[in-house]
Amino acid sequence: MTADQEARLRLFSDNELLSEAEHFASEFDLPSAQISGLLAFSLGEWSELERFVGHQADRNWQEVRGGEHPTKTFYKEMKKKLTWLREQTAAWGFVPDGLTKNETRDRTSQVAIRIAREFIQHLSAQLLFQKGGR
Amino acid sequence: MNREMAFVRELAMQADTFYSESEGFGRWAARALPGKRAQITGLESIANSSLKISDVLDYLKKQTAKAKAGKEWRQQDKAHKELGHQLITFIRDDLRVKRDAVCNSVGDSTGQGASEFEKQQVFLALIREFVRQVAAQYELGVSGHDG
Repeated sequence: MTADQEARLRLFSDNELLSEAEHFASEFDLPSAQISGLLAFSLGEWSELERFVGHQADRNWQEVRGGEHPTKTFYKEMKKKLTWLREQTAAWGFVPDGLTKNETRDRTSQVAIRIAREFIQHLSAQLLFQKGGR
Repeated sequence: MNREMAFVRELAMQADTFYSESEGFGRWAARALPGKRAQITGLESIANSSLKISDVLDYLKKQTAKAKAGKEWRQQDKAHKELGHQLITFIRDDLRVKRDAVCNSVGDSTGQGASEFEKQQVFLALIREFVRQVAAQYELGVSGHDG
């Protein structure tokens, strides 16, 4: 990423992703091991993170009081959030015009993982913070 | 006065307005974290090196989460508010108001409103100054020379 794009990513992280993550976290109480897992996958490639979240969302979690396991609900929502995060790469102009389809896809994945990493760092801090108060 | 000097001047003026709050937090930190200078050093380090406000907030959230109930960053005041929680609230809400005051004043005096990037830089500068003041008061508090 260029220096200008890095600066825009920092602004995006402070001005949008932090409040998005805080709002998202307020709905959940994720186990610490799951927070660690999510954080670890956010440090890899976009495809690995996407696969991990998809796998966790599709897993056969035991129902709780006849309803969906809250961790499954979290990952289903996280899957939607990843789609939103990926869309932000275009919305914030992080991917230049004039690239081939494959180049656009690769470039989008490279930027999307950076955005997702920011989001997940804020999300994990907020989830841990909430957990401390419970 | 050029724009950069206008920011420096307004930042200095706003930093003076939260000195008593910084002292209060510094004293509280000295009571909550005696012998834990590394915790304050960590906060100073993050504040001074980070390019994002959210990094400072994330750090405080994680440190507060690690503390045991009623201890260290989770020590409560008389109103049962926790140190870490109150620091986060002060930085996010009170310093944001100070940031807006700096940016509005510079905008008025130079005829050009602050950009989002400038607002972020001002916010970071205010956080650094606040943490510096808290750390100084913490030192005084743990040294036993605080009033």
